[in-house]
Amino acid sequence: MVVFILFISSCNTNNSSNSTSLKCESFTLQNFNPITNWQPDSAKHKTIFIDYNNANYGFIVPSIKQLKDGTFSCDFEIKNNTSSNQKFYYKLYYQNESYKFPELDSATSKEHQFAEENFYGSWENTSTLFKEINVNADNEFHKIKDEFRIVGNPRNEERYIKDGINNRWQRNPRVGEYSLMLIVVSENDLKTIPNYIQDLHQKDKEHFVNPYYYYLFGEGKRLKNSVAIKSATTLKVIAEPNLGNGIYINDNVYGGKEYDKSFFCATCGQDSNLYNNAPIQQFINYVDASTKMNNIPVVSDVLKDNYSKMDYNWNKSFYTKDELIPTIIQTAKHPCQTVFSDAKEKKIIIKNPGTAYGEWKKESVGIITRHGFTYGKYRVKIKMTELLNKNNVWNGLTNAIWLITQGGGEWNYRRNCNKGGYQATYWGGPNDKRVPAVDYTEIDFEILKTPPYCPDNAFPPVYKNTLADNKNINNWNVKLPDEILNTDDKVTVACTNWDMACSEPKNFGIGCNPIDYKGQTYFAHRWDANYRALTEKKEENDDELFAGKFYYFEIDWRPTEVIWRIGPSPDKMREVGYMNDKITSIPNNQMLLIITQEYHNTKWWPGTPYSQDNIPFPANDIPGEIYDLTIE
Amino acid sequence: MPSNKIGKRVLIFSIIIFCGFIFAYIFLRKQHSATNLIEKPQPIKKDSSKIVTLISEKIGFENEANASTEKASSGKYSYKITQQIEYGFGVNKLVKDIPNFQTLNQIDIDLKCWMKKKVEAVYVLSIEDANGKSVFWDNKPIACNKNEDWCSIHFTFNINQEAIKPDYIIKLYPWNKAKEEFYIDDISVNYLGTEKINSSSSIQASTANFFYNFETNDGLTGTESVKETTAHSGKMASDLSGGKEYGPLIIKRVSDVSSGQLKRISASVWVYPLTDNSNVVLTASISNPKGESVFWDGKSTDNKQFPKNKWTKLNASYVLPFEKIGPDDKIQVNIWNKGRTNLIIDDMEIVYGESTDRIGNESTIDANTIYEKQFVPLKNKPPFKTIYFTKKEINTAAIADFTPNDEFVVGDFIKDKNNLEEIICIKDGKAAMFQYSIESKQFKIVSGKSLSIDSLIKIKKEIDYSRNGTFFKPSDVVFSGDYYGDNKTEILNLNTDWRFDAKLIKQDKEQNAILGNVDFKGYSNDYNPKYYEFTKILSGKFISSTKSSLIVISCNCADTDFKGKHCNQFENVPALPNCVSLYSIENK
Repeated sequence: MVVFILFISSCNTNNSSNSTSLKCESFTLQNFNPITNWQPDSAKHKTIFIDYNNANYGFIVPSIKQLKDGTFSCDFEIKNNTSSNQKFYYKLYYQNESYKFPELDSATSKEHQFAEENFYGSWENTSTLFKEINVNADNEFHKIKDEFRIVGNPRNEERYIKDGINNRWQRNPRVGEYSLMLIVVSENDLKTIPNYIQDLHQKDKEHFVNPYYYYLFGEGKRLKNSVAIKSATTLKVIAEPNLGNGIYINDNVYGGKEYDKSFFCATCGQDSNLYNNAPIQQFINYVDASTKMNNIPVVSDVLKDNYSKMDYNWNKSFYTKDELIPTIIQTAKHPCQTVFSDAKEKKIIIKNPGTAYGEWKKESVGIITRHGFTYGKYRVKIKMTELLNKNNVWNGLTNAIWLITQGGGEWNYRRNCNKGGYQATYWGGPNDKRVPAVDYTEIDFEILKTPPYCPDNAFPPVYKNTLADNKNINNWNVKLPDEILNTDDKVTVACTNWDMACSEPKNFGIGCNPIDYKGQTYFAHRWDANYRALTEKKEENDDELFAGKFYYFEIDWRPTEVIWRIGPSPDKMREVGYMNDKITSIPNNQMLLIITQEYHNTKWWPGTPYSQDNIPFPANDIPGEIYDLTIE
Repeated sequence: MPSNKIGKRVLIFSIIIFCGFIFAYIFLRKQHSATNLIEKPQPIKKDSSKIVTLISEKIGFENEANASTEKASSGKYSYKITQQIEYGFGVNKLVKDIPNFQTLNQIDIDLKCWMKKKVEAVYVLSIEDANGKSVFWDNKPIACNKNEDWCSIHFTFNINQEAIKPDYIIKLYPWNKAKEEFYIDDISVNYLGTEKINSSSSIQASTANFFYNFETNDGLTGTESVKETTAHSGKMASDLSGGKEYGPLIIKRVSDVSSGQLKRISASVWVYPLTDNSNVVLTASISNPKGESVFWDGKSTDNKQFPKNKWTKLNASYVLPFEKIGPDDKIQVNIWNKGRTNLIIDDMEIVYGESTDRIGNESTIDANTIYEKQFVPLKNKPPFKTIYFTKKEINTAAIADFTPNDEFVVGDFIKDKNNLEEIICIKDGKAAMFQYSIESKQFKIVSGKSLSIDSLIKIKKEIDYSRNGTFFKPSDVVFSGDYYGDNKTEILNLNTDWRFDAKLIKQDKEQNAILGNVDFKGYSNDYNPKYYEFTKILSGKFISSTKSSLIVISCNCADTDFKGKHCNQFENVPALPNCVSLYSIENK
């Protein structure tokens, strides 16, 4: 059923791309069909959605639920061109093509230094090198059938093996398109193929060598009696977890302490079904000690109570210190109380809980995926809370859609920083220790009311001083600066990559620095050389993003760039942020997706017109709904 | 008979006017601003001083050598007082280590205590001289309102100022008189004093925020470049073409713009480059009286997006070395055309310092009690609940010209079927009576009703201030009424010295209790009565015979020296138009 075969051969001079057969001195190949048992009617592009059931130990493509044996079948035909019966040898490889470094570095004509990071594999057991086939000299094509599946840690690297257990989930199959490559060699050629190519588990001088490079550009290309066919048939792997499959509660986030389980239910909790199948977990924010604040003792629904700038200004000026409420941002004490999985509508609802006198809390809420990926285009269809009310006063929440390291330490270290190292911790100060590698990575959408830092001619805004003088309104009800009021109905979409201050990128910079992408100029801002994150900001209309039925947010995390997009539908997405590896260290480890409605200390966001401690405690629940998550 | 009716009406109005003049005379003599109140002492000079925390200490026993791990209110440790310990953990403070100790007059202590049963222990304040001789001694009983649980205890020690000398030592400790067993934790000690406020130390916002549009030269020096030209606003701007290096200069004395430490200057200016690659610097500098430079900084347009022939704003903020800055130092903000390119500048704004800090002492609330849902409000201590009075949609046209300058008497002067109270308004020496009509849902000027002098006297209800002394101030205006309509009388206490501060108070045999802060809802836009500069409240059973409501007269005043007592020129601010509204508590 192969309709098109791209073939690359070192021994065949007639290597037309339209040919369905490929010949070398010893044999001829034809009809390489890499996947025969999945979407047989779709020959060129096949698509499979990752099965999240029982996936805690790593995704398997296909799963046993998707195909009877849990494997893809493949076949090809071979003819012995010699006059005697021959032994030939073959091996099947796959590689993720969507999120890879090119195998060949065009500048050096050598293997790209990061091509070894590409997600490629072969048969699950890496000690299965080449498979032997005996082909009679009968001038007939013989069909060879085999099977394979895509699993995590396909090189069976020790990095992901602990206590004898191969934690394949620590290097899950990537989403995106996969290519399949068949290598058939003669017995003599086989002897010349290095062990580190035959056995993907092996390294050459501490490095893996990408077999695609070896066969398509390297020494393997010069083999006399070998054929390498990279099939044009691709397999697209998409992750689209069913959000109605429940929310799991992980004891670890409560630090081993006892906690209230009274809100557990069939779709949120810890039963075995949720443990095995829920794609989502409740997320508990890390609460920084700097979130301590003395909040005004006001409980109000900023979004619904017609809360005005004058209300804000009066409350800001006319409470005495002893009336303030000392508090820090709270996180859920009662798991499953503020997050819900709706099995019927396949959606997740999160709620910042309302509060009352004597309780006074601003509680962040969110969810996190349970299965990590490296790279991918993460797109969520979501209805998050509005941030501004009709008077354009901010309710103090930050809507965040972000990727965070799956943690874990060494197995999940990002690529070494070879210039100055990384800041050792993400919470430390500017004088934190520098280390060559860390596991911390983060890519954010954070949407809140704060001004852009760039261009920096208008930053910081000049706010007039206020005075608590009830005999003169003008002393306390002070107008915001024009540069704030000009975008009064807008919120800032802050796009951030936490590169942990690695200064290795060629154009690593501080302050505001422009970067162009598709005709747009973005300004990336870093406070100083020790600052761990690079941020771009774009102001967007609050109503457009959050007052409608839903909106889409997308983080396109690629090996050398990150693109942030938003839009009303998947086909109307627009870029709001762009960074590449010339200005920032792009993460290459495994990350999880988080969606939160969280309270921030506004000291993190200099120039913000509304200070968190002067924003009321929420009187009512503030819901957000997540309808779809697609990673492709 | 018609003639008799007319005669009666004339008589009633004569009585009303007569009463009005009597009350007007009384009120003017007392210089009081509202009339359905109780006589009060003369107010003291407003805000002449405020109570401040001089220094605070917190002891959580987490790092104390003798701490116990058996129990803890917070963290892991507390201090256990055993039967062998008569004098428990002491907090000692050398007086001279307390900032502004000369004003020290009170020590507040909050602590947590755990006891199995009531103990006879006391908490002692002892001040000793340099030889260890006691010069002041006081004690307060350590009493919990619950056993076998942590309770919050608050002590206030008032100190004789004669006992405050630099070398004296203040000792605070529990005295376990009966040698019993209990635990203490989370001791918080606040040493309170006063801080004087006078006109020279209270910098108005208007003296910290400046805007120069160059239409006049007021406040500017070096104005040679200011002329009629392309301007960002108005007609005038500073034209720095032709190699001019410096624009107008703004010079201020530090003490003229800041009463405390000057930590920051923020400034902005609009720039209109006439060529590419402008390099103009917005500078701020400070020099001392000797002319020595204390500070200099500037922000340039260089390498920034300042396209030619376009107005672009340059903002800057400078953190100042406040510890080096004295009140007589001079601050200069200037425009330096460093690149000497042709350009125009306009609309310069300067903000000296930062908004003033909130007044009052630090909150004594233990955040842990909130997190653990164990918060128990202390009686008559903030934070208080909010009690909302909701605006009633009734026709107030007849009373719309009431102003806070007017004097009012509220009482049941007229016997009517609804038993409502009426309002006598005395404006410009003339009195008029108003009553609400339930039928037509509006206030009307009263006519043809009999007036009861007794009722005028009846409104002078007595409230026992001696029981309320803990929170009433001389400048308070006090009302009483049945605001919930539950046949119980509450007190509504209003103070507008610093803000609109109204509290609803429950009368109690032992001690009156603040029920909550009064706020309003149901008003249009921003028209919350507490936002107005000049608000007067009338309290009475205006629309119901069983429930008291408030008529709130809200105005703004254009007087530059408005003190909150009388306004010569009312101002109808569009965002906050003057209004008269009626509010009452909505039944649950």
